[in-house]
Amino acid sequence: MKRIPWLQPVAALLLAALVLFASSAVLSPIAKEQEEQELQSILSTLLPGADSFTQEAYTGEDEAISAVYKAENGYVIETVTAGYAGDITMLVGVHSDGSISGLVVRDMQETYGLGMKALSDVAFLSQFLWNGTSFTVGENVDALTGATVTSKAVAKAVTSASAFVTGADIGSSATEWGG
Amino acid sequence: MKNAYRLNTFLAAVTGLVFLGYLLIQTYSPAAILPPVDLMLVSGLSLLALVLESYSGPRVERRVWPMVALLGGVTFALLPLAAGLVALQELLRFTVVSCGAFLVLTFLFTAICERLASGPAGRLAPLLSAGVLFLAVQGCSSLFL
Repeated sequence: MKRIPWLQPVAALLLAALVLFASSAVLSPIAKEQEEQELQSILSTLLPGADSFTQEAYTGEDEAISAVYKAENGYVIETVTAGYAGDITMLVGVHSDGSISGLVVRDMQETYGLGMKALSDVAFLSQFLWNGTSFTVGENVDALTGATVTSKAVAKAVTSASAFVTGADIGSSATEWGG
Repeated sequence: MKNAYRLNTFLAAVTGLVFLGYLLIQTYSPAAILPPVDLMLVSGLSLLALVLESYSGPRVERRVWPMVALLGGVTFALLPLAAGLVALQELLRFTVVSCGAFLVLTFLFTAICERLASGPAGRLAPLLSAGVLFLAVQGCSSLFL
């Protein structure tokens, strides 16, 4: 019986597709639940003292703001700004007076060893905490070494989040809520 | 193992395992930032499959390029779709670019490997070729995906 040479890769391919499809179907609801838990945990960390968060629709004009979570003592704002190698998604905790209570990078594809430091560089990230409502690299924010574009993107995101709460973002409903 | 298509077998296995890893990490560690499913990842998978093929048996004398391309294309269309890692609207572009990259890398890897594989140090030729090509892809990765 003549052996068909391409049968082996086709079988491997079908097996891999089947395993991935089944795994995706099984893991998808678990992933959604885990993601929700993770988000609630992060929101509570970014805005200490808040018991519960409700997601509000954002109707403003600031393109950097992608989601708004409201709590009794402030907001957590999700922002998306353009970094050096792609979009940087962040969550920024803002008190009702516009001061920053916490920030975390949720997703970025910046250069390893340079822009990626924005994930965990305490000296860089702590510059934003309790330090006003508007941030400009070179003025009140020191950029990460070799990652000026990333630093500017982070500063823009934090400024947008603060402006939303203080009402500087006049296109948003922040003026009604917390301004 | 003399199968002329064992490169595609390894490609399916490697891609399947890596995408399964993506699914598991996304599920149990949602805060983790994973490398995007783009040209760099596809190149890494292709080069890994090529290295495995090189060390798994005798050199393939003659590749059937149309079949290698077809199986490669199906791999990069079917597996990301099954894992839900690439949106349906982006699938065609992703498949075409990935298949193209896979073919180019296979051709270059084979050519470089054959020239490096002389003497006792030739055993390292597949690893060195893959490393050099991976670095080369980095230079133009943002142009396609």
